[in-house]
Amino acid sequence: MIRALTPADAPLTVRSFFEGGQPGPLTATMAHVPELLNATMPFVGTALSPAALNFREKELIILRTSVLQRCRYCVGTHSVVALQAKLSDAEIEALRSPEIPADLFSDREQVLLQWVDRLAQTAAPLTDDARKELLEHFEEHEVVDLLICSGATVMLNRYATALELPMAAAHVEVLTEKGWLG
Amino acid sequence: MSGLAAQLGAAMEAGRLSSRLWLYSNYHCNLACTYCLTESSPTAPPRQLTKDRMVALARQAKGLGFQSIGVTGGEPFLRPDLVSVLTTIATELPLLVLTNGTLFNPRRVAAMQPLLAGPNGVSLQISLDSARAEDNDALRGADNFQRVAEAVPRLLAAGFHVRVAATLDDAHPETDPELQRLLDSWGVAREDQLLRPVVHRGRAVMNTMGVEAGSAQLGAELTLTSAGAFWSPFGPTYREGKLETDLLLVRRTEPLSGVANALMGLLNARPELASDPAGFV
Repeated sequence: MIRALTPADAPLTVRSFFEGGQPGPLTATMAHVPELLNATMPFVGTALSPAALNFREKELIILRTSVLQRCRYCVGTHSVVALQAKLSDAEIEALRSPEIPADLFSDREQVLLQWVDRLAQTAAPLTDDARKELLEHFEEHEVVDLLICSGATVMLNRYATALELPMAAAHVEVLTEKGWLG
Repeated sequence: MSGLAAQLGAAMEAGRLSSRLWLYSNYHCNLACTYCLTESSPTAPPRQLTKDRMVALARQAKGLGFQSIGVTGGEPFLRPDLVSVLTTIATELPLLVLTNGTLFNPRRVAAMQPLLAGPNGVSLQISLDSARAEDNDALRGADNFQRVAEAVPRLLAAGFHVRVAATLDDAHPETDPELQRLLDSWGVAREDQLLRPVVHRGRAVMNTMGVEAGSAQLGAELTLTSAGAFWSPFGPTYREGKLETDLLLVRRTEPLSGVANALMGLLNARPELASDPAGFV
């Protein structure tokens, strides 16, 4: 839909993103607005990386949110990243399905995933009971991390879906091998 | 003086940043020169900076310590509001306007008199590429030579400071005695007779003309267009209708302090830039 910029036409103020060769499509398209790229990539990198929550919990949030948002690019990419976060094939397949089997995840993770579903699927007000249940399993700083990660993922879902960003060839290879493409 | 203005001033003092802020007033033009950086032509999209924005930017530039404003295009004088824009800007800072010199009939020159009344100088830089009409017109269009030959003496007689710049497909143009004699005869001062190479960007790429010019070859001359802020006036060029983005800094143009911060960040992070710069004019 829009051109991915290359190292040859990378704007001066974002050339560092291109120094290792052609970057991914998020970066290469966002580079059309250098100040957005310079602000967004550090933010997204922080929001989606382990912070208060660990790598596994972050990938539960990102992959499940992307599934509910039906973002082909993010589901494919983060199915591969979830493998790197040591999620099992069965856990990833469960996250990619409409309903998640209860026995695959811990109580804490189930509460996390219920919140991800709420945040990604509805704009309706959240109930006090839901908040109370979340705070029984997560501390305040963990809740902040969950909410920002979920919101940043939705933003990227909308961006990648609207632009039909192509997945990296290496990711397509893994997804094909696992039978997760499509 | 703000910290940013002090930084800009130091960079200007050290010759690492031009003290002139460039504004692309518009991109359309009544000519379609073979080497045009911006693919300007009568059918090019105008891509105008509004009068309000140009004036606001000139005021902010003055506050940050810039010492002059350059206006280029496209052909700026195709804008009906240009004299009004320039007259207002010239109350802030000295002004250099690049023009093809084809629109200065006696009525137009008379209407430009308010430009001479302001507190700051206004210079017009007119393009002419050869002392031979046929050679010039092959590059710049039919009757161009004749129109410039009429305009330059007329503008000088009206009291304008006029420079004439020849753009040559030669990496190191030094002298053109024939052109020098012609410009002498028109009364153009020697220091206002400029020679510069075609730059290999925009339409010059399609016509395989010009010298390569990236950030390593070009001096830092902050340049603003309707599409954003650029390293140099050689930056916001178009090829086959697409903006060339390699010299883009940021998409916003205001506040100018934010744009200048982005430029200073680049200059500080990459001291190799602008180590041996070539200027736009």
